Amino acid sequence: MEYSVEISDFSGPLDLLLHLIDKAKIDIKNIFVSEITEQYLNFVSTMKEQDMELSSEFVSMAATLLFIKSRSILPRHNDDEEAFDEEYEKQLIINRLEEYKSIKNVTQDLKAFEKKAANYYTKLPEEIISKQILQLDDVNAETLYKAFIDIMQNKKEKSGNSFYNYVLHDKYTVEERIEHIKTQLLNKKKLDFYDLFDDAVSKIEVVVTFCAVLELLNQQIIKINQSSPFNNIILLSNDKAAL
Amino acid sequence: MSENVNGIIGAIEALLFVAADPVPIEVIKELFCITEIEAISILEQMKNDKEVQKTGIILRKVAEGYQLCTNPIYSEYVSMLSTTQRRQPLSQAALETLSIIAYKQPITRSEIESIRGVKSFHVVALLLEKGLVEKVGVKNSLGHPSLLGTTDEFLMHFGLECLDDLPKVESLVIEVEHEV
Repeated sequence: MEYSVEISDFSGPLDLLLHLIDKAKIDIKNIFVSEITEQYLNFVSTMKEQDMELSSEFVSMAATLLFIKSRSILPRHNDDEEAFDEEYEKQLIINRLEEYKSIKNVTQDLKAFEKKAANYYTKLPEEIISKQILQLDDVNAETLYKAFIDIMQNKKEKSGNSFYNYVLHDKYTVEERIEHIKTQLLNKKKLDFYDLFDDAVSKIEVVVTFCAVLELLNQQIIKINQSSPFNNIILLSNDKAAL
Repeated sequence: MSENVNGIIGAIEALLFVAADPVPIEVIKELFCITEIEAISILEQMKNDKEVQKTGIILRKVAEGYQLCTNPIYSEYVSMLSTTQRRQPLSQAALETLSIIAYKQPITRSEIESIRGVKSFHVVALLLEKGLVEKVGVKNSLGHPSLLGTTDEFLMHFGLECLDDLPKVESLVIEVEHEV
């Protein structure tokens, strides 16, 4: 292996290609008449055991390069359209590489700016309660979200962690519903499943009652019968002593 | 300078100190009922005076406004004091993505990805979190993806006055033909 470079040294397949082009000291335009494709494929084949998430994009580029290469080797039937397609795909990669190279160059400039700007220290703005009327003309979802997060953060800091942990008292409990069903069973021996929900006023009450039925079944206190599909479901007591 | 102007200079300095973020010329102009030319001349005078006197706090022109900040010639001493680095340098991937957004804004995430050749979800999320970029609109195409653009925080991070201060790159013409 002639390169002592790692896949993680590159931010993407274009970055790697540029590195190879740089190393071979060729012009981007000459990429397809050079050994770059082979070098790239060699490199990608060494990274099989690496992180798939990272390498999939490198493999995708390898496939494209290989496709272009294979097309140029295979004999053509003097088909102009096919030749045009091939040129188009080559040009596409060359364009992308050139654009990416400009971006990389600019990145160097920005890095220098960043380093210089880091020498200027500023302070945080004072909190001043504005007397102005609340204006929402210039507000988007992003800024509203940020403001909301700030408020939540402030509240959290003021009241400790309790703000997020406040839990309402249960209005209906499974235990209470179990007792209710037991009493009804004692009186009636037989209960229609659907009747249990007749006087339920809220969704949570229905859910809790259903949980109670499941719990009674689990404890084998009740049996459930349904004579045929879609027929009424009947609750029966299984263990009289437990009622 | 006349007595009146001196009073204004002091008041502007106090305002800039309290605001801490860059203050646009328009705000100073309206607050003190002076013309734009007067405002600029006062601010530039202040800026020059501080630079000449090598004061610890100087005035800089950044993000389309004026901002008080420490004099970079003393940054060595300031960095000795501060234990945390408030502004950590960005990674190569983050800088790349940010450059693309800066030159091509407004731009969608998938457009960024097609230029970089790699998925950029995490990098874009990081830049959004740092406030260097923001959603500036929605592209009128399938799925209505968000369009991203740079913020004032971006200009401040790189000490730029405005987007025109970005280094000129021929092949990276800033496109403005997006439908927002």
